[in-house]
Amino acid sequence: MGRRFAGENMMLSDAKPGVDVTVIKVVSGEALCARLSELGIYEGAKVRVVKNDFGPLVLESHGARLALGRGQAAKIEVDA
Amino acid sequence: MKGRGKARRCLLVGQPNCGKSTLFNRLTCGRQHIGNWHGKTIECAEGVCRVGGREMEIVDLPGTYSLSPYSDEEREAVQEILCGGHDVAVQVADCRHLERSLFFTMRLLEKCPRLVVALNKCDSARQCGMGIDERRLSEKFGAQFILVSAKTGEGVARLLSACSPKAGGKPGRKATFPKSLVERRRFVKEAIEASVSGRRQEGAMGRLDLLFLNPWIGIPLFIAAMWLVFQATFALSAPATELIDAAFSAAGAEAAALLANAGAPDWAASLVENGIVAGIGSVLVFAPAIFVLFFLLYAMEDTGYLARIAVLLDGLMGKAGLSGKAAMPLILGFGCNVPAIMATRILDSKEDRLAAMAAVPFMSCAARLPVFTVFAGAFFASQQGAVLLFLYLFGAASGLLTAFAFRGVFLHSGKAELAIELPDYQVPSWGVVASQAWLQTGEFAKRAGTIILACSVLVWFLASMPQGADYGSKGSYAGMLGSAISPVFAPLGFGDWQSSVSLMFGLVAKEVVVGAMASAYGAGEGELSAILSSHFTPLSAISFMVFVLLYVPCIATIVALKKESGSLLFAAGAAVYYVLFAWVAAFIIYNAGLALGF
Repeated sequence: MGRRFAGENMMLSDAKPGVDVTVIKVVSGEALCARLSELGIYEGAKVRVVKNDFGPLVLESHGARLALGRGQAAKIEVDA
Repeated sequence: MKGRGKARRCLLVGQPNCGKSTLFNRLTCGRQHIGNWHGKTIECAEGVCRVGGREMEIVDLPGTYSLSPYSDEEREAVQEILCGGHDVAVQVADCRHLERSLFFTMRLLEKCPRLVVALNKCDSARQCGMGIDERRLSEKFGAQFILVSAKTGEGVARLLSACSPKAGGKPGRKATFPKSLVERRRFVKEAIEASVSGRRQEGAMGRLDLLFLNPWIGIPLFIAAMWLVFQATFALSAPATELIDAAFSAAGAEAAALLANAGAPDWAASLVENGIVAGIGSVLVFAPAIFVLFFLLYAMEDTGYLARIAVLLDGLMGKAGLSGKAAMPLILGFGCNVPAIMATRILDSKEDRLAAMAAVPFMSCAARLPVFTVFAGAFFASQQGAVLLFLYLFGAASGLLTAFAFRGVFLHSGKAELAIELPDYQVPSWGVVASQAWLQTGEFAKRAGTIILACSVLVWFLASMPQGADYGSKGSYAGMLGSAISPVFAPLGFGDWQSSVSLMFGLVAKEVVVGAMASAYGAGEGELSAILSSHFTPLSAISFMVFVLLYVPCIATIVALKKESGSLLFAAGAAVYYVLFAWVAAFIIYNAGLALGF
């Protein structure tokens, strides 16, 4: 959480449960980007964080639920 | 029938959880089989259905999100299949989650122009208050969209007629879609806005996740669920198992008697009774348990609960280099290793599967229990439970350690991070679950049966030859072999020929160990514990139990390893590894115990 400043973007892995966020950027290789976009996570996509404590994150996008590893979530930049 | 060459071939393609298998089951009315192996890793269910008096072959491909190169071998194979060899493809899409499916539709249409899109689960979409205009979608994409419900059968006839050759429509028109991802997304969004009305509300079911995924509640719930599965597996399959067992021993005795009456030599009667009939029986007694276990496993998968278990246990399993999804097969291993190894199919990557498969045989299956109860009863009567618990935990720890080491030494890709869809909770479609379980059981009986049969004939031969030797006595080949290999076990504390013989027989199936030991010591099974105390010390009993726990579970398991990994080297290597691991573990325990003065 330390790297977050007021008004700045944060990583999805730092987002609080119950919050709606918009994906700003997926900072990773092409392969992961493609996979994530198939699951509904791409620039501009709206995602709700359902669960984020430990272990994989649970997200909701387009009415469907996803589980995403923490490492991957740390590569997804979202708005606050 | 005019000029028919090969039957028309139709592929079913779709994302996981879109109801593809339910549709497949409906189209083929359950008449299906597991198809040939395409490449090495994937199997497809194939079936036949009749359309307008002609047969159409239907292939159910594994669920896939895309044709993108990210995916593992399975999906590469899917891509290969998509590039040719079929007449028509049906994309099955869950019409409640159209956004993702339509993206895939575009990719598919670029590859295969003869595509029909089945908008599945239209009944449940209607209940959620969604309206979908299939005509608009068809116009927008230049492919036929049909609302169906695989569950109720609605729209299936229309789907079939759309797949028939007459419905050729406008073939060859290769669709052109925007190139860039951003524009494609806009295209899909516009298509949905133009053709879908009403919004899907979040169901109360969604809240179940907070329960199932909370570690403090979820893990006890999961343990309870697994306990129920085991209890149910044994309780439900026991009558059928006993029936099969009784039928085979009766049939064996009957056949032997018939042969004897017909003047056949003794050895022939014994071969038929103890070798062939008992051999087939020893395979088929597993079948009811395998069917029930697979039925319950598939049902759990179908409800959507299995995906939650993967999330719940991801952290724990991750420490052993396994993905969370591997928990399920490993736990099934406590019941029977064979279906557990088959169940590793639910894992995504080949690497994950191999690591999990390597670990499964250390999970102490039900067949090992009789050995433990006899020994623990004879030597540790007051602490039986503690001894059993120690053995189960020791096996599980050895399995996780093995997966961890296997990953480190042989597989250099890191553990795949979880990125899965959590399907909506639903009531399983029992017909599909049953037919999948039935298919797996048949495959087990067919493939494993031939090899187990051969092995049990071999064991029979060793135990009853040369002529005149008593079955499994020191004078038989088995007894001689036992005497020959017994020095290997001397450093572990059990170097007599009798235990060596029983361990050899235990290779066929662990249930055999106790019986073989009894006949080698010339004791009835009831007297065995008394005799054991003159041949074993408590320490060597522990060492023997640890060896039985860890060395090759049974031939059926090795056959399953070979079949599921597609590699004889892997299976053979694993078998050698298990024996060495068991030897080293028993050696350490025995000698450490001696040094400590036990």
